[in-house]
Amino acid sequence: MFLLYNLEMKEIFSLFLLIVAVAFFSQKLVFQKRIGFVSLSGLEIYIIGILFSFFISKKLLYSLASVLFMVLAFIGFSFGAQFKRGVVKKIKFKEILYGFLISLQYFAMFLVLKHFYSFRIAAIASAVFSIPAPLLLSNLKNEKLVISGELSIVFVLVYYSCTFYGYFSVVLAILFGLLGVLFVIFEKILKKPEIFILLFGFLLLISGSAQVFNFSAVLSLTVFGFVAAFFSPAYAKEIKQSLDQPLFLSLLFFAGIFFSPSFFVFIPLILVLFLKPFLLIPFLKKKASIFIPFGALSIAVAVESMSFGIITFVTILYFILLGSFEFFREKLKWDI
Amino acid sequence: MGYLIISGAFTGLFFFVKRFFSPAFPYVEITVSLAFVILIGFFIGKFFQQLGFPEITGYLVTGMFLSPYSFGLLSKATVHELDFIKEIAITFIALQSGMEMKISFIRKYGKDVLLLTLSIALVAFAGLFLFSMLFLKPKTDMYFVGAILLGILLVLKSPLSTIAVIRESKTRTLFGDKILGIAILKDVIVLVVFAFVVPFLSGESPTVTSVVVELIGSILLGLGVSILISLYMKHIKSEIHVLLFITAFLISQAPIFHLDPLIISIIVGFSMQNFTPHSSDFQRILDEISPIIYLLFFTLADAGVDLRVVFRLLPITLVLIGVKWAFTEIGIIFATKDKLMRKFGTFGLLNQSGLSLALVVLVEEAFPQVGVIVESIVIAVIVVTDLFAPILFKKSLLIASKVESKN
Repeated sequence: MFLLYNLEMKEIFSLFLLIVAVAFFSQKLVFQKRIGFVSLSGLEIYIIGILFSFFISKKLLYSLASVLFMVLAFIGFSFGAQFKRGVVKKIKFKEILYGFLISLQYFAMFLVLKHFYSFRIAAIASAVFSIPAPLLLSNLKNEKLVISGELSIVFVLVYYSCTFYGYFSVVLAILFGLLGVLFVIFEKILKKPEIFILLFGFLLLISGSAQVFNFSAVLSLTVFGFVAAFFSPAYAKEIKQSLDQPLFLSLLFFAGIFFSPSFFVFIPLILVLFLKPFLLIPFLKKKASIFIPFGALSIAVAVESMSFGIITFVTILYFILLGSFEFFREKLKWDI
Repeated sequence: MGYLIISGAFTGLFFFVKRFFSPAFPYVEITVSLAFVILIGFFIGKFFQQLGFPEITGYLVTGMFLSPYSFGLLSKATVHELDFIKEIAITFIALQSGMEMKISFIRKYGKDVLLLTLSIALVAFAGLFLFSMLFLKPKTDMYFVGAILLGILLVLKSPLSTIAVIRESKTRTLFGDKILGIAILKDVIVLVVFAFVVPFLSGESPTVTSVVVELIGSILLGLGVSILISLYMKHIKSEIHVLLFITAFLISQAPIFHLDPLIISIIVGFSMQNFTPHSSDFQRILDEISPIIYLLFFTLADAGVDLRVVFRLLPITLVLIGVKWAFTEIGIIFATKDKLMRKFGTFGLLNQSGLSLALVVLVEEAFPQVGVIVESIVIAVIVVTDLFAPILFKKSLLIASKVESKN
């Protein structure tokens, strides 16, 4: 193993520290500025990552997988932690139905894409395009639609895990995610620094196990985050607030160092985006526009696949879609 | 009992997951092992705390239990790869040691502590040297060198576990402060002596200049780092945890430049405590980080120990611990009339680990003929004292707290 990758854990850790430093120290600068009419937060971090990619070998990138999975785990946790008890109580049949219907776009895209691309790429791309940006969703005035949108993300994550990893892996991901129950039990008797030790241990365990048993770390940690936030919202909120921005930036940095010029191959995938309005407008009307750009979770799904070309394509498209969306929203004064 | 059941469940899960480790996934074994080290160590530590023992005893037991030489849940490669965590942890704990050294305390009790340290170090060294000679003479020609090295290494006391136990017992006593002062001072003295003695014993000419350069360089770098941290805390204020982790990692790499990470860290802690207005903030952040540092350090400290060697050397280990105990007692009696120190001082001064673990590696490299046996004995002493010394020290701290509050 070590001959293959020929890199000591200490060196991996130093790179990890570098990424943490970039993510934490740049967050204020990144999130306080606006470039022109659009706020493309994190673009500079992505570019820094691309610059780094020219000095980092592919071998090293694979060696960084365990660190990367930890970042993905945190992102999954952060998404799951959105489902606080208050939010869950508001979920009624109608929201579930809407969420389910929105999520069906995954299958529509998958059926089209699998004729042109490999099964693997079709699954990743369908998941990436079907997951809306949770942050944009939260801008919607209609709270029920926000919940439906978030539920659709959970459905898509499950479909994607089933197609990409297999049915058994979904069961495993959920089982590991349910370890969150233990976290909740001890949260009541432990002190604050101890809670963080426990959480760190669990995240490390689940992200590592995801690689051992080949299941989705993002899905598993979403379940974990959901359980934690549902039963102990205070801690989950605190952790989420302090980690959200640096996590997003470290994800973009990672996406940058995975830069590969082969992303051109995937450009025709953009065409499938035109399917989205047809699929969503019938029951979402004007609000369908907010479901077109995707967010950090989609980048996380792409990164989890470890396919360099698709990671690059998805990240670049993320910025393009976000920029276009904000442009139209501002120019046309969209009321969402 | 609940904690024990949960740690048992995690151990079972570790056995299960380990079966699926595959070389196709780089470093995944290390990531998963680290997760289990944290979770099992955490719950066993809690279980020991429930029983009234220090948590660090639980961590040490976990390390021995998971070691490649006992149940073998951690592989030798994993333990080796995780060594860098110990290096960072030592830096953090040395920072804590420096933070404990307040100028006001040194002014008031510095003389007492210095006298106690010199007396204990000299008397204990003499006793340990003599007994080591007797033991090593029939085994090796280099018994004299071996005895000197054993004498020096076994005189050491671990400030790391001293701080951990003081913090955990939540008692602030003069007795505890003096013990910590002795532990730190002894480490510094031994470090300097060691730096001079090793080249001399190995036949090289003593490179006084290089030792002085290393010492002065480390002190200056420590002061420089503390100034930078202080400026950062004054002007930027946020993300100090991240800054500290990066600083600790960089300091732990100081040996590349022939500088001593322990001295640098102690100086950083000392100057942050005494010369900057940010001591309380810095202390608070260190306190927030320290639980995970203690857990990782003490669990991994004994994880690489071959327990078969420890058992084989158990008789001589017990004799040497007894000698250290008796001669430390004599050293204390020579140096002070303080009743509390005379009665319980030895309890606080038996525990090893920390610096001796680092120095023993250097000994093995510098003296291949006698290094292995010296290393084995020192590690055996560390393991055995690790098991009971923190418990004795915690009890003595609680008694000292009661006595001091009465007085």
